[in-house]
Amino acid sequence: MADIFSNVLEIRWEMVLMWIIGGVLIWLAIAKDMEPTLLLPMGFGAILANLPTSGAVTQIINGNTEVGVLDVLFNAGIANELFPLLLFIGIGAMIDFGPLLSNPKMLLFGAAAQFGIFFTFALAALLGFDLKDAASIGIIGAADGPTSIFVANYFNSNYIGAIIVAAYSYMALVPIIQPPVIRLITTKKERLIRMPYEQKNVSTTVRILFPIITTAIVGILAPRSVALVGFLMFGNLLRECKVLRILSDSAQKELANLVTILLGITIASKMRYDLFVKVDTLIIILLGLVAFVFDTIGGVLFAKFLNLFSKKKINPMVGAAGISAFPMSSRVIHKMGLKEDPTNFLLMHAAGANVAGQIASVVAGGVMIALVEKLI
Amino acid sequence: MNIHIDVENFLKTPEVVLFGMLGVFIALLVIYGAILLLSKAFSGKGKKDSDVTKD
Repeated sequence: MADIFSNVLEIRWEMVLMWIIGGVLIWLAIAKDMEPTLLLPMGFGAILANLPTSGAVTQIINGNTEVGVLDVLFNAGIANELFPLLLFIGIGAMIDFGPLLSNPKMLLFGAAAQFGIFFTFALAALLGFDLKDAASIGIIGAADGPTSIFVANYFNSNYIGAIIVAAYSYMALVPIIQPPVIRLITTKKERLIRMPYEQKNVSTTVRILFPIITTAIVGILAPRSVALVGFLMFGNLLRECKVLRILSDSAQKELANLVTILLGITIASKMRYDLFVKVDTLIIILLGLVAFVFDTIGGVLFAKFLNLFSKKKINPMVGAAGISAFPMSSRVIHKMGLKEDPTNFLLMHAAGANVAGQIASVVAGGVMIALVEKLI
Repeated sequence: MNIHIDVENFLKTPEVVLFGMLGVFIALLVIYGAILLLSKAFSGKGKKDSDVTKD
């Protein structure tokens, strides 16, 4: 009898804390509809991985290593960057780059809104994180789960669990984070700037050539990003070529769903209490917030800067959509615009900046890897 | 890890911040130029969005 219940004595307060964290993630996913596709599997996985002597994660029992299935999945799908890349095929197939191709100036906001990544990298380094971990923490500001996983895993960061939780949580919290920041750094007059949208037809040839040429450009300029951007653009090519509709649909639905299920629960292997219950985790979560805030500030201030020289004024709120949280951020900006003036429709401009952010965040990840690698 | 102020570590970062942002801007400016060229080269050629059945 004592043997049967011996496991109960193995329960530690840190495990209970992780069950609570897992429960909160599940609650946020179900009750608050916050990134449920990832937070729910992660929440369940956090409970699964933190049961005493959990067989789901690798344990050393009586001197023997018993490999857990979550670690098998981690090594098979995340340690080699396979899952984030496969997910990017699905994301690429979902994205319509039309608003960006109609108004390519929006690319600049995508670039400006990566400022939070680099700002947070510097701040994390100041707080004593080594440069690899600082880079992995900064990339939370990519507002893009696969890129965060890719970079954190590339640097073999010990904080990958906290980084992924922060990245996905803040992506879900974009509607709460961005509006107050934008209101703080813009005037009412600026928020009322109207941007008439000129509908431009984009030829199918341009839509097909865009993913190919973008892959080539990024591959040459930021080769570390080429796998991410290549898979993203491959998914987009499936969508735009119009002759592979079944594959495009599969990438958007079956592939993306399957990878998402495995990705969420696999990340939980890095949410074990011994890796997660630390002051560092709290600091990383706060730094993630800093990254999102400074991404927003970067995009807005860059739009204001362009307005100094531009005849056609840009509503600076559109700059904030340059973060990669797609399509959440463009919807937030659209709603903010409508709140200020019910006849001011910013959605298409914001969508252009938002998909630009998707490309820019991947480029930023590759640039970060290349630059930090030289320093270490 | 002990959280502490590490100025020496921090002083290594301005280079990454500067060249990082510059790198992202350069890459996106090149893509911007490529889109402009593509749009110019293929305006009026191929099917337009309005001609294509949406997914």
